Amino acid sequence: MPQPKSAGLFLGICETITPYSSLIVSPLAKGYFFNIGEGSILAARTSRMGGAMTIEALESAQYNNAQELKAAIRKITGNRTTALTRSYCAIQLDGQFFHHATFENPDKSRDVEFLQKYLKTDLRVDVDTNTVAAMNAMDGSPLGAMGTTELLFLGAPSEAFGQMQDDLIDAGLYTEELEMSIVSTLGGILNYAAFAEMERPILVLAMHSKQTEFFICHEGRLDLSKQINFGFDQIPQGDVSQEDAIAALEPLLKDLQSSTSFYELKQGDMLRKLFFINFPKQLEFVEQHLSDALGLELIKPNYEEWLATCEITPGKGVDMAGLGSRWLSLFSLMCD
Amino acid sequence: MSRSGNRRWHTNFRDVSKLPNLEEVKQQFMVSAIVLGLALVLMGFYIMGKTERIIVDEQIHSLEQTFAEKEANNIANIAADAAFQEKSAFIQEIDDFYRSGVDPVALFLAISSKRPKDLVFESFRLENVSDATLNEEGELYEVSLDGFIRSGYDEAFQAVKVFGRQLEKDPYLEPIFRDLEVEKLTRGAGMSKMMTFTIVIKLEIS
Repeated sequence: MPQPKSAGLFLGICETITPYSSLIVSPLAKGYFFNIGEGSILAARTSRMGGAMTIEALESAQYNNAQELKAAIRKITGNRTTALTRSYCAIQLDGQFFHHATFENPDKSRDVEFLQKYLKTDLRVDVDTNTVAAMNAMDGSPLGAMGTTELLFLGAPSEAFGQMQDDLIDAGLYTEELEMSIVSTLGGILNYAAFAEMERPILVLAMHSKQTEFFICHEGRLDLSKQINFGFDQIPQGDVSQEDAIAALEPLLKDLQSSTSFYELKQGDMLRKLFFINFPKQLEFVEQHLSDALGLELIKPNYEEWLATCEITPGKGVDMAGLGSRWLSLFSLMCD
Repeated sequence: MSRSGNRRWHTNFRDVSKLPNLEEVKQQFMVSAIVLGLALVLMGFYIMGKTERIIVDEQIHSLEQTFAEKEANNIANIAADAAFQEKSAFIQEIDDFYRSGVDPVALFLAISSKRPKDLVFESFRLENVSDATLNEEGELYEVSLDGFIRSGYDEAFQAVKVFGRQLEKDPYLEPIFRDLEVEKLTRGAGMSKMMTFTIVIKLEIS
């Protein structure tokens, strides 16, 4: 199998935006932001591509395959031609991964050979077929000369990245940024927590079809991350009672209780809030149940106030009051 | 305007090698723009040239029309002028005729009264032949008489001479008569007994 060009380990920055791209962006160009994954599309059209801007429209759509995804995107952008619409995209991919690693010696974080070996042997990630980025878990910055003991490895199979990028081009999108939704969203949550002055650690759960990402964010850093093998595919849907659906959550709940207790004991700090990222809208009852069961206050973001700090304001007819927590993944792309 | 490439928690995974080259697109656009611009400029020149040509053509057409109108007028004027010249010469001639020092009616009556029976006059011409450079006192006139006579040559000559002497004696002509010459006396073609003549009578009016 030919090796994807983009495979390999990148210390933080896979690609920086080249200066010319800012030169050729028309000041009149609209901004398009997409969060794509798990059969769900969230999108925003803004008055500009960056800086102070107005949200002109918010859209959401569902898709079951690449064809439907492309059709839905074209419907949102209204682009029926071969011309490309410049956009910022956050995606979820099959086979994507997210690992938190702690090294005693910060010099290790600058030793690429060591990191590649670590990825291969300890995390079982093949850097020849995967695109992997590493960043500093203390603040989400690219790995620099200083080094760090807390590292995040994030990535996905290079083929999956390439296929998604091709699909987006087919759908008429020129991606200025192609981000992993989960990391972008974590950044957004940390940003929101700072804005809302949340000093206590926050439990963040992102439920996907087959697994749930577990994060504990605290004061701008990622303290803990792990994956729980429970996804919304395991929650019965259709003609089942809510009790049956809730009963199915039991294994997840047990895992969460043990993990949070362990963290609280180790840190000597209590978790108070829960941020739940749930992509399919019909499963919104799950977050309320988990919040009640864990005794954690569910964060309902005030998007309008938060986005105002990034000079982003809703335009006429855009109501942000009723938007659920899943929209934070989209707004994280827009708000630095 | 554009966001910085190293925002925290935001890693850009796009594969630039798989993206369409915007620089190329931009340059293609620029080339297209230059070509389009040149085409527009050339078209501008072409239209300007055409417009100028149309204006010049219109001016030429208008001038040609004016010229044709003037030419027609001119021809009419020339014709009128020629007619005028002709009439003018004629009027001048008549004027000269009547204003001359000779009374043409009296002269003609005198000549007619002395005409021998067998002389037939065909034309009568009175001409002022004074030469201004000679500064003579009187004015010289010549009367030319054309006609024919039914007789032989000698008889004709004789008859003309007799006619001359008769004129000399005429009371009106006597003071002004100077000379009479038979300028021509020839046999008429196909008329054996018919002689044509031209007599010139010279008169001087002081």
